[in-house]
Amino acid sequence: MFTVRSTVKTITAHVKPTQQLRYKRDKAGLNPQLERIVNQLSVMSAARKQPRLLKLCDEDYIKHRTVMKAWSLYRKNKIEHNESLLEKQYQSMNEAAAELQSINPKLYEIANEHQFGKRFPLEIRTPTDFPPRQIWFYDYFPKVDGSKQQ
Amino acid sequence: MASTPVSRGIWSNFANRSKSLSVKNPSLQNAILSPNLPKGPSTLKASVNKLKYNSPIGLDKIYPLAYDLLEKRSESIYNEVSKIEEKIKSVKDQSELSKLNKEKENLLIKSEQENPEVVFNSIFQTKSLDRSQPVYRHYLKEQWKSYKRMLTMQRLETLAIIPDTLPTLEPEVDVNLKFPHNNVNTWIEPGKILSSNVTSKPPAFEIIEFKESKDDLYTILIVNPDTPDVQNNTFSTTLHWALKDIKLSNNDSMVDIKKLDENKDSILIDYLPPVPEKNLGNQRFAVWVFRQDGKLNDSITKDSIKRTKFNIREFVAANKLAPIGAHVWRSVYDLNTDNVRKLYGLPAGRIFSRGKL
Amino acid sequence: MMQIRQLTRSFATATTTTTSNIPIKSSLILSRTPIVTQDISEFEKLFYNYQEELERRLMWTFPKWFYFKKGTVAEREFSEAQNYPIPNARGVWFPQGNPDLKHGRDRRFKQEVILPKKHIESDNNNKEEDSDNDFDNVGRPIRANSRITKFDKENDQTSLERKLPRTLYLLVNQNGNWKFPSFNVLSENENSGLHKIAEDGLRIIGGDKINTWSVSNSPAAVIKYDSNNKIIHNTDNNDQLITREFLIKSHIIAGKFDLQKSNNSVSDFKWLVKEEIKDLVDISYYSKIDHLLSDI
Repeated sequence: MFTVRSTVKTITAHVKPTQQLRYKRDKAGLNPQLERIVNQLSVMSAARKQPRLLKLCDEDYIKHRTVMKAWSLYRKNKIEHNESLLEKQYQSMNEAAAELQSINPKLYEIANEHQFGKRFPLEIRTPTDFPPRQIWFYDYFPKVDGSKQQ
Repeated sequence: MASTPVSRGIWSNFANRSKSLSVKNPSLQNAILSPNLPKGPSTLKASVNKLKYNSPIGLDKIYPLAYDLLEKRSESIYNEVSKIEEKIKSVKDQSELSKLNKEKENLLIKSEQENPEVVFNSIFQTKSLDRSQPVYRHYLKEQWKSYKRMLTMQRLETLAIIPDTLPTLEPEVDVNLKFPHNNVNTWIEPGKILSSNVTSKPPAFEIIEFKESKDDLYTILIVNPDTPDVQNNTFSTTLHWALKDIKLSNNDSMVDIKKLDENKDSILIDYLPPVPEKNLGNQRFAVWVFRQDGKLNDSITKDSIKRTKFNIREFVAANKLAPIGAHVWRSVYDLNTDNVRKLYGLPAGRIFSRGKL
Repeated sequence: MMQIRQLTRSFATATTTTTSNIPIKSSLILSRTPIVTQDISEFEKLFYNYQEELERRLMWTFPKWFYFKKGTVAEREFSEAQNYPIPNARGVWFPQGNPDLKHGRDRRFKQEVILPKKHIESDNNNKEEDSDNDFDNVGRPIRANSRITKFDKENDQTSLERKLPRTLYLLVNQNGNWKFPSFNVLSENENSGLHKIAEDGLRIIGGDKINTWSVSNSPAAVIKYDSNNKIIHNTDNNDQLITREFLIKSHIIAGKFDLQKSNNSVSDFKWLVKEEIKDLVDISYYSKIDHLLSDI
């Protein structure tokens, strides 16, 4: 955002000569103005905001490793299960399409017609963490004639 | 801090599994099999550090579940193993059998690979691993491949051991080398320049196999391709030590004086220490390890092999030896070389000087 | 081999076009998509907790000076809300290691940032008051609705407001069998297509006050029945007597399935999740639809 040098400049510009010091801190042999600048700069220092290094003992390291391995296995199983499900769905779609084509080509043609203007409905809800006050909208009436309906 | 141990399934059942798949130290084992650390971190030595230590929050809750998940998977893999074992009983065909055995070994590795106790042993107790277990061999091989193999190959190639002695090498075993000059257990890094005092006595080898090995036979040769051949204005190869028919297995991998004393027939040619000539620079000493098909031909004896002008390629081809590992060190003339010559009753060394053009 | 196969295939097509009296049914898999996010398993919950704790332990100190101007009321309130750890002091022995305080945080541990309480209501969080339901009162406490509804507690399987984190499927008791609603494709309505037949059929048995959105015109699967209404598993049977039931996927968006009294074939209906369907329907039927149903 800004360099240390520019900050020093801006800070020194605003430092007024102080009338007195309440107590003396001479750890760096600095005058009070400079010491204040150092203190203010130290607020920006990354080292003072970083936590101590996380050191695990050997047992805990092994445990951590085990947990991470189990997690990756869990994820892998889940993904593989979903993929196999998709694979099965794709095959059953293919099978149904082939069957339909062989017994009734007319229905097959209708089933494969391009659906122009087909959109995902706006009314469908995205899952949220907690349900809405009105969970389901029951009072639906179909649109009157002349309006578009899928 | 009482704690219920993690689930006691297949990984705590040693009826069909080796005891070496567990952690030997009971307090360590207890720490690994408990969700938290019941007696504090036992791998930290100082009591101050023990008191200071804090486990990460939440680890004790998730760890039993993670252990259970991995153990269940291991159990299902062990079921597959038992199926393969039954298949092996019925199969007669050799190639099919070796394929099944390979498959079985892979499954055995997979079933124990994530066992926390096994992981602990193979990360922190590498010196005392039971190499008859496939999983430990797997971990050792990974470790070897990550550094030691690359280092050895780099030294062999930059020092031109390949192709000055043998054309190439596909390393399969880890070859370690040490000299008994002091009591310190130091393995020699490949390519090091050693003093004549260090190399005055024959070295000991450790040959670590990563495949299953039961009483395989090995040949070890030490050759020096830098012996000066003044008449022809070239260099020739000298054979410094030759060992044959050395029986090794996974857990018995050392080749030292004790072992050679027990079967004296395995020494084909006695050890000749490196005595480099003055002003000839560094001399390379290549250690080659071969796996034998069977016993070496009886016609090869001390008398049939010539030490000087030794043709290693011819020897390897004649005996159908498969090079599987190598090592190298270098020697140079130093103040002690003449003492070594005296010790072994060798003739006085020559002094080379730069010839006038 | 290929050629023979193609020949037979083309032959079969040729015959069926002439005899279009093969019985076909169109069946609708009507689903209600989840209303709330899915429940996470115990393992996931504990793992996320562990990761969050690790992250908080490794987090940089909260930059109070960035968010609160010095000397403001907000800064004072925030500072008063924090639990500051004990600082290191000369001559004091800390058995568990000396505190390492920087910017009011012990760098050995995670920092707990406590936000000052603004709402007095959050103190009596458990009590439900009348003012809670007074929606005109903008000052009413903010409280999340329960993910478990009264229909869950009553186990009312005809309700659309049960099992909010799961996908519900409409099953009907059609001619004594629990299954997805299925309708005959007759020669007169053949021109409208399978999806339209299924949607129209749904409105005949369940009333027209229902808004659905069919995923596709094309079927997701096919189930074959022999003349005794038994499911056939092998595929190569091209018998005229085989009934083919094509499954169309659709979502309900609004309205409800209201069982029509006039209809005799359907006697009952239920909104069920995958596991409940497994328990209710025929095993051979379930084996055909297992992969079409969502796990969540």
